[in-house]
Amino acid sequence: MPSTSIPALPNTPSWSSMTVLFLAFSCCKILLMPSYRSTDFDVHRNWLAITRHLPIKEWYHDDVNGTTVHTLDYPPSFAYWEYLLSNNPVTQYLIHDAELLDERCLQLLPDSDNTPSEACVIFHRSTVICSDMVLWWGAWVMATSSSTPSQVLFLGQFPASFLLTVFHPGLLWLDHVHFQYNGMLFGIFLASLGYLMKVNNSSTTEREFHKHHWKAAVLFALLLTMKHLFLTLGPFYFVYLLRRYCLEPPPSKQSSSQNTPQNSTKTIQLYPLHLITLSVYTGTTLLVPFLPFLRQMPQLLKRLFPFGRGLVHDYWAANVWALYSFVDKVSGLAHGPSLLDVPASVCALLLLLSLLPGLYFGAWKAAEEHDNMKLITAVVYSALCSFMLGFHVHEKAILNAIIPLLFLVCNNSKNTASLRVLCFQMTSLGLLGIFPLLFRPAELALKLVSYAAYMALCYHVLLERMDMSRQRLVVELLPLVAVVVGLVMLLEFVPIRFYGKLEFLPLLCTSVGCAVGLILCWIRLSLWMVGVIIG
Amino acid sequence: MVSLHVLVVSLALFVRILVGYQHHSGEDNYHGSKRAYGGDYEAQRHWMELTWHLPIGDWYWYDLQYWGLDYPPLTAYVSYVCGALSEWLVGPGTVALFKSRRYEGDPTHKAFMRATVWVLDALIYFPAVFFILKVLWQLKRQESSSTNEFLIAVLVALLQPSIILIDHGHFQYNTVALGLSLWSLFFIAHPSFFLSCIYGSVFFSLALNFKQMTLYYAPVIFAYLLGRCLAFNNGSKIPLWQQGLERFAALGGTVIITFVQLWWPFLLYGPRDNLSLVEDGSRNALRTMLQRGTHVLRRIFPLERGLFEGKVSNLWCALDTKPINIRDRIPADVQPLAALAATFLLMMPSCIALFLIGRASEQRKEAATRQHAADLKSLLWGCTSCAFAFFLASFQVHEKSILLALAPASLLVWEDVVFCDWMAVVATWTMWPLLVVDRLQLPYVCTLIIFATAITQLRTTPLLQTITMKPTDGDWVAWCWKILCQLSLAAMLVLHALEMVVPVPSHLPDLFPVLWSIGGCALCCLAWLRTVGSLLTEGRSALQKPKND
Repeated sequence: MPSTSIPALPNTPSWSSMTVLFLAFSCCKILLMPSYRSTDFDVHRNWLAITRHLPIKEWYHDDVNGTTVHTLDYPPSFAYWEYLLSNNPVTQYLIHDAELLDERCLQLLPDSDNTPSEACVIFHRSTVICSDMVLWWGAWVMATSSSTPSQVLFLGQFPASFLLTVFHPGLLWLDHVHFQYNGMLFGIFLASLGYLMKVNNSSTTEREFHKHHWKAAVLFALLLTMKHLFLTLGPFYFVYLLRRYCLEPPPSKQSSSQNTPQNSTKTIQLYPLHLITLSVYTGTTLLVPFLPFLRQMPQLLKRLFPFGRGLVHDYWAANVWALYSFVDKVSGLAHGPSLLDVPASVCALLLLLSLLPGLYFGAWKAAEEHDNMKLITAVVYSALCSFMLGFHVHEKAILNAIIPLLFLVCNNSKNTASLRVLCFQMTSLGLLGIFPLLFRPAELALKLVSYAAYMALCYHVLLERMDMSRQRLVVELLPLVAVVVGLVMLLEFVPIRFYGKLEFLPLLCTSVGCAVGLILCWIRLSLWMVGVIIG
Repeated sequence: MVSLHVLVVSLALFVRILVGYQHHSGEDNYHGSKRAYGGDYEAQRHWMELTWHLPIGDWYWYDLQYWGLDYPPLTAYVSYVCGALSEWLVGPGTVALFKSRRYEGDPTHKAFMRATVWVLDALIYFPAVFFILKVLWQLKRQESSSTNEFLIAVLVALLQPSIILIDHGHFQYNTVALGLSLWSLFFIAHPSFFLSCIYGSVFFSLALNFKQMTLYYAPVIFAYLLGRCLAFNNGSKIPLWQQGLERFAALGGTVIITFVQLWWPFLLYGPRDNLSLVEDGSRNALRTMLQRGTHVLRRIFPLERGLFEGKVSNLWCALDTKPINIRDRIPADVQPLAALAATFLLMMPSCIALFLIGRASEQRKEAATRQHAADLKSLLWGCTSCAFAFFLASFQVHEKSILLALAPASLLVWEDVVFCDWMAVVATWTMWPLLVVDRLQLPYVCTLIIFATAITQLRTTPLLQTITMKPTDGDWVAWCWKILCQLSLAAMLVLHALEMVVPVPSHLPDLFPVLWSIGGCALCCLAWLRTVGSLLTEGRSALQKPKND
């Protein structure tokens, strides 16, 4: 229970509390093992089989003689992770000595006959639960990276942002129900951001200045070779590291009034040694995983970027293209000829264009002013752009924006009310947009209850103690609540047979409703980033 | 602080829903009985089926061999509503008469069944816990204490592992009966007699009519109400006997009216002819009604089943081990009497204490809220004690009956936090053999860890801190209590470890269930002693009060 939100300066890491909390939340995840699992479970099971039974050169070719669609389509480092899971002493022990896990669990199976045993599900789900340790580490690094006081919560004075991240229901639904390893990827991502932020503390030594930047770059490069979804954050990293690390002296070489942005902005000077070391570190991390696949790059790229899939996913993620498709559909009903098809290249171009302001007002300025808040703003903005304009975006990509946003709000001592409201709105709409992912009625209660619990916690942390007029709160939140309640009713409580021929209507309303809301948030964030503060 | 209230409720529901994904009793007929398929889950589903489709007269007569209805009328009515909802929300196949037997494996239907439990839980048990703790909070709170402490107590009370495991894992509706009983305690303890005690007895009648097991509370509640009827009231001009008569009549009338409302259909309507089992053609309407009534009663109280079933952590089961074998030494027809006598003996302290407290309750010159809290607290102790008396010594006890002792005890955090937490662990632990049969081992561990996390991380006076702290030198009771707590926790862990490591010897196949039953019995006796201890203090202070005035 949140006791007080008195800012405590040093967050005292209580390892026993952390372990107990991790254990308790892992118990919740264990209890979710029998719940719904998507075909992503089969996908990852198949990847285990591929990495266990096939030589490395066949990894990106194999499709079990055309009997499976669950082919490997993540970058190589993720394949190595699967290799690690399928070929380690523990797995060997479970299969051969203890006979707890059946051999069939890790075999190449056709899609028609791949029902896993109970032991297989437990084994597979446990790997996700354990890999969440990375998430906790990353969230901890990020939450404690700033020397500015952060809001703390109950439970041994943990930073609020840390708890809001590790208990994020989006990750719970995606990883522990739907089945993926997002927690681990987010851990790496947040740790990388955390190291970037650590450098901006006033007490940073020269050694730390180098080490933290290298760590951040290496972690991000590693992340890219695990999941290329994060590629859209590449420009941000490039600009930020260039300005912060390569065009700026390390702390000790600065003038006596060190770390005052005013002084450092005056001279922009290239430090070639910095550039070279950073490039070597990043380049190595990026390239080494690809080495075994150099000869099959075209095949690998074809798997990684399946552009044939179309502009929008089956269920439209709540982005600009959802609105576009909606208009398309409506005009199609009215006139016949529909709007233009949007090719992937146009998407990419639009995306790059939209990233540009973030790169200048966010990344460059953040590096120039050593401002962690601008840094996170840039990250959130970039992630939001790629969610809004990307090609064939999955609804879960919104997490890339709403999770870092938590750190922007909770770690900010002088933040404005509008930012907190923005975070609350984006979190509620973003999570609502993920609802259709767990479509079975059996998960309805789980979704609603975890959503209610999390939004209540968010409300307590973000808004309850704010000096905000009741009128303002009503204006900001009432439309949101109305939209959320309305959409939940449409989506979950009206029996599908009532829609008749319009059975797509609830999903369509959800994506369009969330899209409108999120686009408004996007605009608001952009304005905030370029310095226009509303409210 | 609305958000935190929402958070507490959703967290409590979250854990319930998580446990709901696990096996229910008798799933795939795993360890099911040979006679009928499945377990309590199939029984409840079957009741929905039969109440929804059959005329009310048939409910207690229809195919008694296959999970015949054997709970009191309110359960039957609730089943009727759930049956209607099941047909409407999930599909007619889920409750089709006869054809839906063994309906299983449909995740939507399972989620629906689970939802009926947690919705009723949230509607009845949650608010009862909330309001009772809110009243008790009046006694405890100080200037400095924040509302969070109260909300944490609510959350911890709602995370009781044994209640969650039985209702949301094994599948039963105990929280409805427990919630109704707690509601009745909440009303009964109120200082103003007429409205409150009458509301209270309505709720208690409803609880009795939902699950007969709530009779475990009846002696205490009766004793307390009797005390209230004969309460000293110096200010009033009405003579004591007249006051007593008036109040008693009001209570009796209320109970009778409530019962009649629930029972009349079962007295007026019998089974249709093709199902008829009795009805000897007698024209005497009263006699037929009596016959129907006794039939339902015999369904609800099956006395022929024996002293105990399976392995329960009570006295009879513990005394039935090898050298003593009490079941063989006492003749079968004396057994119920022996059980009755022993139960009577064990429940005396709570009944006497509550009678005295009831008599003294209207004499205090305190604020109404404090008076309400003081009586409520005593009633909770009394109900715990009396439920333990029944659990330990009465006839035909089930493992799950320990929940009746646990529910009131779980609200006594501010009285004795160690006892409260220790009880939660003990109650869960005694159910282990049952949970193994249900394949709920993993949820057992998980809910215990979640509960332990809640009490160690959220509360300012966690169990661990309390049992490791030093009691003051002279307080030998506190010392003993502390040592016993530590020893018993260690013993429970050791038994778990032994069960995992030691293979069961072939000539003692029931070794571990028996050890569990003996250990559990010892722990329950200890808990009963603890309740008697605090009832002594409470009763003594009630006796002193009149002299002071």
